[in-house]
Amino acid sequence: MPIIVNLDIMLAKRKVKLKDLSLQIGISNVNLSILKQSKGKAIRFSTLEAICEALDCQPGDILEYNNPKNKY
Amino acid sequence: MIKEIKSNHISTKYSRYIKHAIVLIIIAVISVVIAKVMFDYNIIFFKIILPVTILLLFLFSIIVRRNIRFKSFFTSKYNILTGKFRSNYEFEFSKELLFYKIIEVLQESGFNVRHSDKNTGDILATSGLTWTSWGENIYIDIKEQDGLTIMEFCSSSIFGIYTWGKNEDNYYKLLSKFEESLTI
Repeated sequence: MPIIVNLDIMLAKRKVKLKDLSLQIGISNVNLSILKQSKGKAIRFSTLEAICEALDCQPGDILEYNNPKNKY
Repeated sequence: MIKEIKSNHISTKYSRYIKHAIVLIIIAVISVVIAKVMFDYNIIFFKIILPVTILLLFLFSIIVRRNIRFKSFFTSKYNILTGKFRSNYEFEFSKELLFYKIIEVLQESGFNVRHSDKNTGDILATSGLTWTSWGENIYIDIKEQDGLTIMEFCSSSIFGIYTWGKNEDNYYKLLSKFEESLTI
């Protein structure tokens, strides 16, 4: 998928554990793991807002578009 | 994301109605034959032994349904007293992640998770007895195979040879709930 979720990078930068983020924003650990592994189907604006607020970052820090055409 | 490998589902609504009609005819024929034999001949088997055996089996099923040790009793293809629906699905999730996700989805769908073992990947969930249903047992086995995670699903009715597609409907509701829950 060309959309990459950089949640693990942001978590490492902010030195926050996934479990702590889960408790802070009220989204289950399983769902955050799915998001982190880019296995989710979609992300709600409310989730993105909560993550950005908790990690003090921008949506662009969490999501990245990797154009497959640029590979060639 | 998820892919069905093997299932005993009926693909179209039309073929489903045909199957229901055939089963209804078979049940009616068997009922008429038994009733005729009961009235014409004084056979103790039909008057006492058969109803008592069915009642005892029903009570046994109700008592042991929450115990994972009786999984083979409910899921066995030789147990003709319980209607079953089986399906295999492959997922791109890790075994551990899928295990927790399935439990979450089952609980959100109103099933009671009675047993779960992370190491073996076994899950037993049950639905309660209602006015319209004897209840349902869901047995899920999560395995890793060739880098993929396989979910072996078996839904068994507590009592009833034929479930009139109820188990199948619940299965697809569960899958759609799973898909929905991937919007985070």
